[in-house]
Amino acid sequence: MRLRRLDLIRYGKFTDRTIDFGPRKDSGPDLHIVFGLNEAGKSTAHSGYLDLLFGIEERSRYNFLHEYSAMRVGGVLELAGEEQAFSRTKQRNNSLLDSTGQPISEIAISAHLAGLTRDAYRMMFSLDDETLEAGGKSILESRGDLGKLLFAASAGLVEAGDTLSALEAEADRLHRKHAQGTELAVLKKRLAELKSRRDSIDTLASTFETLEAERLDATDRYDRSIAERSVLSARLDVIAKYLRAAPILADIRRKASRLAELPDIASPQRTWTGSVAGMIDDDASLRTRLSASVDEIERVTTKIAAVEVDQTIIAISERVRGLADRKARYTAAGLDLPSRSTELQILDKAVATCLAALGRSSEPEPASLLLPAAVVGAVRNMLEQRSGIATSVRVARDEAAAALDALQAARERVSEERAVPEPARARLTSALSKGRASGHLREARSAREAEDENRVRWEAAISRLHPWFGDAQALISMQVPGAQQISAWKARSVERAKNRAVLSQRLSEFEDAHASLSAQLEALRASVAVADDEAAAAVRRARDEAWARHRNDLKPETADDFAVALARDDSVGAIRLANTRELADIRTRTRSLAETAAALSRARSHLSQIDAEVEAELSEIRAAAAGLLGECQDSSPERLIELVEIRASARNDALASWDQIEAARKRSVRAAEEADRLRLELASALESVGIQPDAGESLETIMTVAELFLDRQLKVDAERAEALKSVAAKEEDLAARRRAVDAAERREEEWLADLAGALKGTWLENGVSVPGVGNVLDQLAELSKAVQERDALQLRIDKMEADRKKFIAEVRAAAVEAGEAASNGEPEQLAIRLAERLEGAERAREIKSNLANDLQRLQDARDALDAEIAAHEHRKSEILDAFGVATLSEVVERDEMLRERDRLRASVAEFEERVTAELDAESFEQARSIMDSLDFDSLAIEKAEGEQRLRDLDEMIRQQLVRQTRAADKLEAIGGDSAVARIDAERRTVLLEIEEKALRYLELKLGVMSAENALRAYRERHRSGMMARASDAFALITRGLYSGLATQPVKGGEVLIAVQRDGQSKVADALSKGARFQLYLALRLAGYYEFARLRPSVPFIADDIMETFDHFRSEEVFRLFGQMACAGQVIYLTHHQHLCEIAKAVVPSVTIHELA
Amino acid sequence: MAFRFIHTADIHLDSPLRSLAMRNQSLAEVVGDASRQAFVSIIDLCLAERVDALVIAGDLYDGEQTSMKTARFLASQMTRLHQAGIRVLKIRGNHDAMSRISKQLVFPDTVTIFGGRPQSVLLKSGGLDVMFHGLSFANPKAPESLLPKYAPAAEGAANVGIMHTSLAGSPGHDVYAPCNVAELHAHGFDYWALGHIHVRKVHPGTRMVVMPGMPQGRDINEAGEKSVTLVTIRDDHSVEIGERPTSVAQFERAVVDLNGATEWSEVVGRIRSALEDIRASVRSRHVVARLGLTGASPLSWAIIRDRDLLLAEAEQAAEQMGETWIEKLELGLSQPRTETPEGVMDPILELAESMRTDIRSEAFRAEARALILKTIADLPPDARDFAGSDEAARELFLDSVLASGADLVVARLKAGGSQ
Repeated sequence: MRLRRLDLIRYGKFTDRTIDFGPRKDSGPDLHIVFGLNEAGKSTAHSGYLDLLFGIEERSRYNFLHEYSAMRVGGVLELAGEEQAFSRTKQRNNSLLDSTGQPISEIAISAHLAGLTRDAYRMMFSLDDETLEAGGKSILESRGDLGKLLFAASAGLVEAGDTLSALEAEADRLHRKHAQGTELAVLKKRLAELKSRRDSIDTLASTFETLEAERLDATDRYDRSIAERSVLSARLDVIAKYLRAAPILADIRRKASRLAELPDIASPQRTWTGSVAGMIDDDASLRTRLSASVDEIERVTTKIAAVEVDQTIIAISERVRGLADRKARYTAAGLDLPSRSTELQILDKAVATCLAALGRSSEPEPASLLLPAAVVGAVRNMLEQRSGIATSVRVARDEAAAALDALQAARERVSEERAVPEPARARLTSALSKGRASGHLREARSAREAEDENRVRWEAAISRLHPWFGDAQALISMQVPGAQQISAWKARSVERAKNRAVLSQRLSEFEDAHASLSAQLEALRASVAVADDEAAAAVRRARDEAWARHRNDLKPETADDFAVALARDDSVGAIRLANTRELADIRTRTRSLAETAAALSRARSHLSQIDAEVEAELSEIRAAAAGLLGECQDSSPERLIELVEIRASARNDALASWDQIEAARKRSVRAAEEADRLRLELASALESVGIQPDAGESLETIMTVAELFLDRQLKVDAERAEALKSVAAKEEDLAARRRAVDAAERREEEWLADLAGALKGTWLENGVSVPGVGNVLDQLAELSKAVQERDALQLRIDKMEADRKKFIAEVRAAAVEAGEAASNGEPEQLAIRLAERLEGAERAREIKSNLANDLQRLQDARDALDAEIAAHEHRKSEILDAFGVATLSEVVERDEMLRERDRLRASVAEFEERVTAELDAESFEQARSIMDSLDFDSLAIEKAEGEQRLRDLDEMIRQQLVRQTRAADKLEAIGGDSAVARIDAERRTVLLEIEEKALRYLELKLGVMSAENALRAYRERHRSGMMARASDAFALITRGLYSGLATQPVKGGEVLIAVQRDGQSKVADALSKGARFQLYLALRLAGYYEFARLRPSVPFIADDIMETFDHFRSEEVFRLFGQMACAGQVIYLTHHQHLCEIAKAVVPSVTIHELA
Repeated sequence: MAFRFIHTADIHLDSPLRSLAMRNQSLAEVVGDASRQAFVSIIDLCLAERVDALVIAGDLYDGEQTSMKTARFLASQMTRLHQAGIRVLKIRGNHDAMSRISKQLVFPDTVTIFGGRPQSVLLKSGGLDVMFHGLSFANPKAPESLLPKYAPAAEGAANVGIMHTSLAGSPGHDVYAPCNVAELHAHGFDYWALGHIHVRKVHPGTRMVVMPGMPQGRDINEAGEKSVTLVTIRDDHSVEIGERPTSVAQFERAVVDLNGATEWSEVVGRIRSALEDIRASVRSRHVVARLGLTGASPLSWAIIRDRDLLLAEAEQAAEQMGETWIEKLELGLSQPRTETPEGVMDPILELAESMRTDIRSEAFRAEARALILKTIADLPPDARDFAGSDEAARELFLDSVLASGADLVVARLKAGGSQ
């Protein structure tokens, strides 16, 4: 198979892109380089080629420009020496189409691919960087295993080795002998676990029997032991009672003998409260307290007599205390008086200064100058208003002056420019608006456009009438056939064509039939030597004639003749009889032949009749459309009719265009006339306003001038109206300002009058100016303050001096009364001495009174003590009487003895009760008699024995109970649950898993074993051919660095080694990386030859695989490709320009295709 | 009035399910005791239908059962019947004869266990007398017909025979008490309650001869719906039977035709719809399906390679359907035939062809046999039978494992190379 052409119709980035590889050259290599820069679409083209062969992939990546439904790739393939075009769409079924676009079976291509699938094709016959790299790696990893290498090279499956190792590893994960962690080992462990779990919870039937027997035995023994224990336990209880009662009885006897020793008198009635011991203590304490009380009273009485009080000073105590206050004021005034006198002088001077400022220094009574407060307030108020009034007068006057100036300016502005009179302007406006309203300009333009357009149409139509030419008049006058005429011709022509076709068809059928019948007849006649009807009739006639002759002559000759004729007739008859079927056949066919011949001649005459009609029609058309057809010599009526139609339509178009041209010209003239009239009117209107337009100016210009003039006029009018309005406003403003001045001046006068009124009747009534009034008021206020302060100070000085005098008089009087020596000098010292004396007298009086209180408290305590002693003595005598003794200590002794006796009696009674109860006797007497009859020694022995026996029994009971419970528990624990069944189910599943894993293990192991055998077989089959070629190729690619390849047997197979020029050999993994690539390439090329050796070749495609090759090796690779290309088509995709050069140099006949 | 009883056999109580689907814990949880659930549902059915008796025609236990838990469970269920006044008539089959647990059990007196000598029990209900004739297996083996030992039909009563028999023998079962159906029809009993064969079958003839099948299938070889038979004997001794489903989980095979499937998703889709079909048709609560994938598909290599993945997909689909479980995938796929018959050009296929040839070589087979024996020897004894128990079976196993091993390698090479 060969790729002749690849059409990337709608595929990837391509639309209708074709790579034409050209036909196979007669000789030389079929090597092609497809050159395109990166992203030019080399891989797309590669994929497109595979898609063409095998169908567009389900999830193709090449739909980014064209949708899946639109994708299409095509091409021409050389299959078994023939070129066939195909195209491919993206569909599930029927995606392969033949050259006519009809679906075609996949076999059309696949039959020539020797069973290659897409993957196999790609892996075997395409090479790129990655596969080369991987190939180099696989050489390394296969450690030269020849089988694997050859297989990898021819299948392109470089990872075959990896795959087998992976499967091997997978198998090892499942199972390895003695390994612990494999899946099977884990499952086996799990199985063992399940078994032990099952054993731990399950009870087997045999175990069940044993358990049941155990339980029954334990129950029996338990019951027996319990019975024995009860009897023994009761006896021990009885013994215990006797033993408990014995010591009590002894105790009773002891106490009874003690009771007998004690007196049997009644205890005294207890009529007193408190204990005797307490009374003994009280006796002592009361005596001590009495003696202490007597001593204390005596000490206080003595102290009172020793204190003395000064009654003289106490009598005048109020006056002495009053002196203290007065003394303080006296001292303060003495210190203050000098500074107060100085202040008074200062104030006198201030008053004099004020008077001087008011110009009234001589005034004896300054207070008389002061103004009443009402007057001062009013005047101050007025003074505050004064400044506002003065300001408003000044402002009003300034504003009036400004208003006057403004008015003056406005009046000057009026009367500058005057407008043109209104009527002239109106005329101009009207003329202008008429000019604007008129559509002559538009009309003129559209007329021109219409004319141009139609002229083009006219010319186009005229050219369609070629070779005819002439003007419109000639065209109009031309004679043409009508539309009805033409359609009649057409109908007739169609009818005739149909008849003719039918007739021709029939004619050819008749001819075929005629020929076939003739041939059949011929054959029949040839095959059977049968006389046909005519011949038979001739024989018969000959016989009859012979008979007639013989009848006439009756001669031996005639007889012989007749005999011959008869014999012939008979023979003919016999033969005919024997061949009646063939004869009938011949007859029928002869008849049919005649009929067919007749039909043939009929058909032919019909046909010639139709031809005659055609001729007649032709001349009719020519006559009717002579003008249109001109010299046309076409002999087909259909074509003539068509020509007539075309030209008639062209004529119609031309005439229609001519009419339009005429109309447009007329419109154009009308528009020009309108323009002239308007211009005249406007010019005269302009003159009337004083503008003289130039005669040469266009209507447009004149209209613009008029518009500008009118605009200007409007602006002048507006400005003047504005100025007039402004003057009126200014005049009003001035008048208002003047009124404001008058009002302000009036208010000022009123204010002056009010001021004078306010000051009337004061000393300021006359001769004070308006500005001075403020200062006078200030000075008066100052004066008033100074006079007030001076008067107040004078008053305080007078009061101080009076106080001093009063103190001295009182001190002296008090001293006289207290009997003090009243010396003249020091009233203050005297006052102090009096105060000290008073203090001493009062302290002594307080001490005396405190002592008197203490004495009274002591007397009260003594009274209470006396009463207590009396009560105590009374209780004491009562107790002594009751016990009949003399002292309290004797009472204590007697009381103790009686109490002991009573306790003993109670105890004996209680013990007797206990013994009786213990022995379950009716009375103590009975109990004592039982006890007396017992032998306590033998009882003690019996008790010890019984207790030991009881302990043994208890132990036995416990053991049997445990046995019984344990067995019962075990039986109970069996239960009816499904735990064991579930474990069995799980165990079963694990077994199945083990089987599954083991199966998988065997599959993997045996699969790998089988694959390895197969690889060895593969090596055997392909070894010699591939090795020889690969060896040569490798030597060539490495430019002789290596002389070739050889093999070397090792354990379990053969390894590949490379032989260096110097004879040294290298195993695969000792090769450099580049050399490994080259080795892989050499193997792949050998694989290709191996394939092509036995089957028709397919194109080999390589995609830029020489990135790592130097210039020389690239040359050699291309040389190899050139050799390969003699066996089949080789296509090399690259983006390296230099590779194209190398290829051209090495293989001059290489074809380079650029993929722009 | 009529006499009604439930007829069952081959319960194999506490015999586990045998399926890889049980790897799924959720399934193991719910059907780990399927035979018990089925048995409980039989008892429930007896109570709900208020039948007069339950007839168990042998193999109540599995021979391997030795756990007393099984016995305790059985006793508790028998007590339920006893309390409802329902009689139980039971013969021992070959498996029961092997079992030890029955000896220890004390059943209520409403339970009749026929012994090794022929015995007849008369039951009355609503004025109708029904005579039950039974005979148990005394030994696990019974090479002779037991029919001659059965008493003749009792006059005036309806007669029911209970027998554990392999009849004329059937595939997958050894011969036990062989017997001819025609003879049974001719014996004069109105109803023959048989047991031993796990597939339900009503044997046509003049009388009623019924093999009820087992109430719960245990593996894919016991596929299909399992049931018990409800028998009604009318006053005129005519017999009517009905089938009542009992299985908790049902095993089913499903064939998924992958012819022409080109997309993985399509494969999954077809599996899904096959599962949906099964789910819709099965009445048991759980379905355990074994999927057989057949047909020619370009994906066949990918499926062989990624079988585990596809199994996971199928399991997911089943899980979404609810109470549907996948046991395993069986692959019987082929590639669409596009290659011309001669001149196979793909080296992988050449390799595959070579492997197929290799499989037939005696040297290689000997090596393979040795590996299999070595591997088997390492497995627990209970897990050794899968490779065939006799010479012929082992050779068949060898063929199949070699073929699938070769497919596996080719699938890896094929599919691996395209990625």
